[in-house]
Amino acid sequence: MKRPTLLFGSLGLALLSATAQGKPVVDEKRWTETFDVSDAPRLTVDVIWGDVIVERGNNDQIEMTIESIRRADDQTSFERSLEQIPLRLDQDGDEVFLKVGRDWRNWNELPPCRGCSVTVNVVVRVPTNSAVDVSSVNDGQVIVSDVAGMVTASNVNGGVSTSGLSQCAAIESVNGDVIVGFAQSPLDDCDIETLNGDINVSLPDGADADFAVSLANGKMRSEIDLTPRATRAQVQHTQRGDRHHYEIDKRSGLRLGRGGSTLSLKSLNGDVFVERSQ
Amino acid sequence: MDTTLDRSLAMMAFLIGLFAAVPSAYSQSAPISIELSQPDQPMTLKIGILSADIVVIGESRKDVQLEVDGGESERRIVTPSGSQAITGGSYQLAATEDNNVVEVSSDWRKSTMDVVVRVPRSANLELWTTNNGSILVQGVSGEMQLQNTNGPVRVESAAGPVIAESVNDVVSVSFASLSGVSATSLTSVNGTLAVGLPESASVQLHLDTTRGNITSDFEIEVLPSQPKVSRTEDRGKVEIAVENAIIANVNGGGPVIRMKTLNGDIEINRTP
Repeated sequence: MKRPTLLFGSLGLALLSATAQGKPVVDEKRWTETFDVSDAPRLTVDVIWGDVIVERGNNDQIEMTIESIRRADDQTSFERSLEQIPLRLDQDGDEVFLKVGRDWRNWNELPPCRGCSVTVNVVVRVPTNSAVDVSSVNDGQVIVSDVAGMVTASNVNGGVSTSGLSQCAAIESVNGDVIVGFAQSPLDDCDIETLNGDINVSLPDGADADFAVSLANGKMRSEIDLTPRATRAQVQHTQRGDRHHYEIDKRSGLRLGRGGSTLSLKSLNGDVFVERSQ
Repeated sequence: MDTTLDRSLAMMAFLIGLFAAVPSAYSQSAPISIELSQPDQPMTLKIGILSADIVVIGESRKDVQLEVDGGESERRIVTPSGSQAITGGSYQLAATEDNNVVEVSSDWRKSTMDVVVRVPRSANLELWTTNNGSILVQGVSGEMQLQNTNGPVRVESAAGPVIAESVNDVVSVSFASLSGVSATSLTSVNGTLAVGLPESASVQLHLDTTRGNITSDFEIEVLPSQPKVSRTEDRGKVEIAVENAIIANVNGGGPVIRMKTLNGDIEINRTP
């Protein structure tokens, strides 16, 4: 089923704090949308400002509760923000996506929208087998819990917290803490990274996994026994024109139980903690 | 001028001991061969790593071979069974080749990396490191700019101009030949400077140490000189610097080798 919804901040429902030119304009809305999905549900959420929370819900529906707060310095900027920072909510087959921001291909053709922002706090309830790919940039947390499908979650100036996972592809932040909780042994390899935050990974009793750790300035502590093991440097060669580039990545190896999927942990200025799931 | 052979030998022994451990300290990670865009043309190697033992070896080759190791891991993990070392080191390092310039850089980590690079003999070098590291160059005849802050710089069998600096440690450069050498400069604040010259070398030395001694294996001819006064103006400030170097010829004089340190000695040694 395809049920497209393109929201440009309906003025009819808007709460406008001021409409006169030169005065700040704020448009706040809150609503819930429900999408029917079948065997392979997939959720994509990309916001620039705000929280993204994903929880386990019904098996055949993705339910999204959205709180949108659009701000601009004046009416002209507000109308410009509708074009430059649209909120798109759509469904394509089993995939549901919410995106805040414009098509960057035409960015230079539009005048800047200084002082504009669109904070979107979204709570999504998904079937447990959903593949989830969610991100935020500023002023928010990214939280995913009890999802068994493949999870990708990222943030820039905030943390990422996950729990009850079975597998992940990448859980990343730049300036926040990253918390990754597994309900079982990870089913796939996963990159877990932050630049200026701590990493906390929790696994249940009896879980098996391998760790490949890169810490520049932090320390590592585990409340589960881990066995150090040798690893080899990975070399990646790319070529762009006449320019050859080699990336050499050597991690410290640790094994939990009998080993398994590799969790690649990397932090520049933070610590790493490995804990037992509660 | 004081010529003290014993002192020179002692200094050489110290320097040899200082660096003797470097080649054996790095473990042999799988070498990476980096092809050059123009293998028959001169190449430049640039390495800038915050903390590294850098070894560059000149060989008869037309590519660059890079070996890296994280060194012994200082990092430990605390587990219920106690604290234990994490096996091996971890590091991220990038190398780029573009138009015969190879640049090597790394992330900002505290632990010291071991980097061994084999280059064509004629390679030009620009190398720097800052903490807990060293720079050792063997058998390279190109131009060199070498900079360390808290560790030594050593060059063996140089045949081109060398600009080498360490703020707090020894700088030692020995020449196999001076035929391709133009201006050369060795500087430090708190380290000793040592230059090694072939028996028949003809050079002019500009020597300046504020609190150290100068010793030489060569008979030298000290030339009359006046303090050099330089004046610079910048945003209303005037800076006047006085440099009172000893200018001396070895075997009649030749290319200038400038050696300047504040608290270290200066050694002029004869290479075998």
